[in-house]
Amino acid sequence: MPSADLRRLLLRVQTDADFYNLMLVDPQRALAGYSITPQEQEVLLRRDRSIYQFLIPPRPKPTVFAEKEPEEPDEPSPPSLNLTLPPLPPPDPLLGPPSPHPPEPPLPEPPEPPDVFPNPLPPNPPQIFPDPPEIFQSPPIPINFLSGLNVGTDVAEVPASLITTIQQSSGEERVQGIVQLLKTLDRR
Amino acid sequence: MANETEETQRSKEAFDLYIVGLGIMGVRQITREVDNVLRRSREVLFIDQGFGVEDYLAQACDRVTDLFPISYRELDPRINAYDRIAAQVLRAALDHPPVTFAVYGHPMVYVYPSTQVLRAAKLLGLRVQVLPGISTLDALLIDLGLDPGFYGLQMYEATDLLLRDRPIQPDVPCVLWQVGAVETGLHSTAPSIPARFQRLQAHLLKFYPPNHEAAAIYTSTFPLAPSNMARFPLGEFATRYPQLPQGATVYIPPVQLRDVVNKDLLADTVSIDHLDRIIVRAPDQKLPG
Repeated sequence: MPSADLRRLLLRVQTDADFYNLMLVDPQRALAGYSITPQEQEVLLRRDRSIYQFLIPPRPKPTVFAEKEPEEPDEPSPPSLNLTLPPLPPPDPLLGPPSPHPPEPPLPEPPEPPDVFPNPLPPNPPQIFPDPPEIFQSPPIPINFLSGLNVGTDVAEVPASLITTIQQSSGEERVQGIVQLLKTLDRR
Repeated sequence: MANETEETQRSKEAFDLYIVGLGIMGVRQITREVDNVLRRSREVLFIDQGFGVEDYLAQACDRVTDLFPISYRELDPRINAYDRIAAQVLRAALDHPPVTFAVYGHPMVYVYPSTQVLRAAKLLGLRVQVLPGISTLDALLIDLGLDPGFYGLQMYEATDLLLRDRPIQPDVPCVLWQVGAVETGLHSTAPSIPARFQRLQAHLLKFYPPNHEAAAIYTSTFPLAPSNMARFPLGEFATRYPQLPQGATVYIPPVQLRDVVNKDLLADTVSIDHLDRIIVRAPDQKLPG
């Protein structure tokens, strides 16, 4: 688990283009405003796959699936985490004022321009796994596809009553109706 | 049943449901059009384990639902997970439109729930818009320096390749997807052993020599982290792949390139006379030079 400051930094890298650029051209300066451990700093400066160890989401609590799952409340659920959020592009004025964010450390003053302008994004070919390769910690990539399906353009025979039931029901009854519809549409 | 308020709300929106891709690099590849629909949605339901994704979505929409933990169950058929995902998305779209179904990568590249939602939505009278995202394939082309315009591109889902005994064209670049999940439709995060990949290796060796070098690529999913690539001969596929991250995609370069055989057509491609035979040129359109 990354420290709070490292987490803030990793979020900022994704949304603040200037900060990301500074991480590439002068990472020591970029990291100056953050309280991170020497080990975290060393990983960030290395910029190799070991950074993934900080990006793995915490394992979810084991889910107990009851025979019948409870209905979800209609009200929005509160955020589950106390988040420190990165700055975002200006919001749509129609959506009202943005939520307040804690201030990020200001970027250091830009250095004197060098004689030869360095390429901020040098060619970065994929790193080669060592030989023999090893498994490294990596965020899980969801497997969202299933083979063996025959999905044609034909529309399966779906009883009109099933559609009506779905449209007129709510909550878990509606979900179960939709699952029944999906199974009707599946062709294996 | 939708009440009057919901109907009024619905009439103000062009779509009930958006299906969008978030790209493969946390929040960095979220496109402007996707960001726009996230912000006008009443709920965002998502599948993406990328760092910071949930944080970002929570800023864009008050109601954010991570579908991963409520859908995938160890050793359960994945089709059940996809049914649960699609059902929750459709229920939300019927209950309080507009909603967004946001997925890792591109919504129509190896995402079965997107197809499920689209087909069911049509029957349920829901108005849907699908917006693209940057897929693993897009990033893979960068990692490989490969433009499919030169030699084409073939790509297969690993298990599907075996189920249908698909032939491979060895003169065309080949991408294999979901190799880490080959030979099962069940959800499992357990590590694999070489035996899992022997059938796939045997199939590949019908079309390639055993010393032909393939690459397994774990495309970068974070701005500061590089993509990683392992190269190995196909004859060692079964022993090498289990040592790699489950999400690694396999690329097999062509064994040899296919020669141009239609020399007459090649000459015609730079011939004005030939072009005149296949287009309608304006009478006053002059030839260059």
